[in-house]
Amino acid sequence: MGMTTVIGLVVIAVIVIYLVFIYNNLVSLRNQFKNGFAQIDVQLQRRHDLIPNLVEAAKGYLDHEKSTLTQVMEARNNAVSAQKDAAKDPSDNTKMQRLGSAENLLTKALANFYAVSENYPELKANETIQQLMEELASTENRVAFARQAYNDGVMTYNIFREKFPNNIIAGMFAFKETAQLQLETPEARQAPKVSF
Amino acid sequence: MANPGFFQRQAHARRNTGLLVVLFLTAVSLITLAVCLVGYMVTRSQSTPLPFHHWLLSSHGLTTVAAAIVLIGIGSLIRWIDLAGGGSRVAKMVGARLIEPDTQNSDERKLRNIVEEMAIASGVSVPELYVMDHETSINAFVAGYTPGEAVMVVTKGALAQLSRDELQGVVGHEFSHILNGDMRLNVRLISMLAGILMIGQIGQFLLRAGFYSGATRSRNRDGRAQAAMGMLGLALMIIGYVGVFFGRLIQAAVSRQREMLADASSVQFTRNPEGIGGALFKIGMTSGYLDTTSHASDMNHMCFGESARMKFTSLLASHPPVEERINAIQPGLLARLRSRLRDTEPGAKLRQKAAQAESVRMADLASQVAGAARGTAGNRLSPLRSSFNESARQPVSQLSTRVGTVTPQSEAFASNLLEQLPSTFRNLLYTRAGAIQLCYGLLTYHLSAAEQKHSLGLLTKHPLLGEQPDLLTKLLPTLAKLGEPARFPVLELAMPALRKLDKEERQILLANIQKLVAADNRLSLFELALSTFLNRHLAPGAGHAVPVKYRNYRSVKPEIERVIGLFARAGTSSEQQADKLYNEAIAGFFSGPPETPAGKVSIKELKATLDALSRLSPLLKPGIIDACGHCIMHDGKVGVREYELMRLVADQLDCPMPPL
Repeated sequence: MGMTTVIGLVVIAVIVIYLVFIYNNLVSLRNQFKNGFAQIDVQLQRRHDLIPNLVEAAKGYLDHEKSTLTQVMEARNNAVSAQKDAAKDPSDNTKMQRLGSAENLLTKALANFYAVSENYPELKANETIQQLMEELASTENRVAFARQAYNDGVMTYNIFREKFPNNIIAGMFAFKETAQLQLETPEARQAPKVSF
Repeated sequence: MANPGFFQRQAHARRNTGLLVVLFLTAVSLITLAVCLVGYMVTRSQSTPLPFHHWLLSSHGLTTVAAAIVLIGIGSLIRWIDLAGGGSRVAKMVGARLIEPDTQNSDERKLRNIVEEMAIASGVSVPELYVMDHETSINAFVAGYTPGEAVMVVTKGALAQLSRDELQGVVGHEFSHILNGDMRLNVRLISMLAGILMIGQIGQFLLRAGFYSGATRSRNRDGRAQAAMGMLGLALMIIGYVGVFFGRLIQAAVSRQREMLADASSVQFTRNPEGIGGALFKIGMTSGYLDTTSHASDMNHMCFGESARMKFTSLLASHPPVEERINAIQPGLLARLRSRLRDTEPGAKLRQKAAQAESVRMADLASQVAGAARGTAGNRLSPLRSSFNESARQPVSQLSTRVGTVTPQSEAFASNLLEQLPSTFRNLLYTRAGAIQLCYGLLTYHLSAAEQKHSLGLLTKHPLLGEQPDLLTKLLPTLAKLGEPARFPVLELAMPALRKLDKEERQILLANIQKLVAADNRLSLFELALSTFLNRHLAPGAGHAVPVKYRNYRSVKPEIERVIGLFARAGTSSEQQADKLYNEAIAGFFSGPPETPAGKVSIKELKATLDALSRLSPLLKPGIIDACGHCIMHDGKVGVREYELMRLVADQLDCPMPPL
């Protein structure tokens, strides 16, 4: 075994180690943003679970605002079914969009509920309702933050994936470019049409 | 994206930190080298005259290097073991209380929620949460060597005074410290500093040893060796302490970079520069100094804002100046926050605890500046805050809960009063000249025409601040008609205009007020209340928080007894009833048999008493307000005198009062 062979082997070993390093990095980055997605799902679930409690607690105060409460409940039920659909296949873009717009309708219905409840000081003073509203606000933040963390993760992953020579490895092992998650779709930005 | 700049700023801060750490390590190697140089000087005479770089590789040289490194290593290790303990140990050390995960307290619940939100945003696991119950300043810190055992400690003041968004900004900042391993970096730097300090300390020891033995055994034959030892000690000491000084400088600079990084990361996590900006702004208005723990300076680098007062502030500060931080977060944010503050509280520096006074007493102004002031009113004033429920009948003993809150009653009172005021009169109060003349008018309207002329003649001639008869003729009749109950509310209305005065004008105004008060050679309760009120809000020191001096009722016992005695007598006309009220009110403060209330209190004594009470911890003040309220409200009626007395006390204690 000559000197050249040894040097050749060493060079190959270094390259292989470097490639393994890149591969492992890609894997960990991909798992990071996937975890972000799981978080969104968990928090949406939590949001859906909180809303019936809030509606139940507010019923006693909002005798004349039944329609507001019904709106909230219907929007919530819609969102639940959309979420179940999307959870089955997160990569399906149309399902994700449906979930996005359902969540947006729910947000609007809730905003309407908050606006109405401004007129009922006793309602706002109720401790249970205060707590539920805080929990709900927190959950909405969590959804937003989870989405943001997901998008940041996707960005880091995409940047790493596209750099040379990482893009070769990524191409070889099918690390696909991933799109950022937009829950707010253009159609959802329009005013909601809710009819009863 | 709210602010696209934060990724760049993070990268910048990281690069700067890297540079500084390299600089720090260079400094440590230079110190080792310097120690070797000293060793070379000492041993040169004994060994053959080798040049320094050859000597360094000889056995002597290598031993010296090894010795220096071992010394630094031991010093560092001792400090490291001391510091690298778990975060919960640190939290207990500063006297913080663990927040249970299922806490029912709404503030703590909110904090928990925010922390969990930030954990999602940053991808760091949720740290254990602690709260410092007795700390009213705004601060927070994280401790713990690894992210897994990190704890977050938040002061009660931060919980109470910051809005949800601002608290989120602070928590995001702290999460960055966890995420970026700042605690570890800092512990390492501090340990290394301790190692360098060790060299200095050994030098000090050698110097002292050389000096003492040299003194006791002078003219000894090894006197020269003693002197050499002294010289060696001196050299090591200088190296050690100079090294520590520069090390500290670098360490502080590293810490400042990490703070910038954390601020940028907080914006990344929350996407809301206003949150952390607002929190920093509030800290800038008060201070984040931790007063209840002796470990403040150890915590300094981990805190959200400076926790201890330091010398060489700009060089050794572990945090950049607040203005700089706000500007870095978003240029122009500082100006926006300032103007917002001006809008909510016209013209004044933030008087932290009394800030919401305006919204209380001038309900109409409060409605103009929208819910902003009202929304935060409850949050700013933790100890006095409560969920005051209008429909429930308010028991007398909870007067303090009404401090700093707007109630429908007080709003009704304000609008009622405003309706009574002629519109020309009201508009006058909103102008500077009118407001000034009102102050003069308030002090003179009850006098006869001749006395008025005499008093007003005392005023300094000044185009704005002098006497203006045409304005006074408009004001005086209305004042006389409204009578005593309106005096304070009217003054409140004039405050925004008075705050627009600049520093010199304020001083002249205060001097003029003093002259009018002194004109008849006696000081009435209203005069004292008015002049302390104006002094409090317009004097140069206005807005500075009064330093807390007393932390329990016992240390101000005579003062409390005096005030309550005064109130007991003001609250009722019968002597017997007064004694009874006094005993009832004082029972809450001191155990043991009550003493009889003190006799007459002069206005001067009252002033000194209130001065002392204002230095009480804010958490203890509500008790005093309650006791006073108990005395004056026992018969269900509050006279004008009683109200003004109450106002005076509440003002002095920095607790704004709604009309009773």
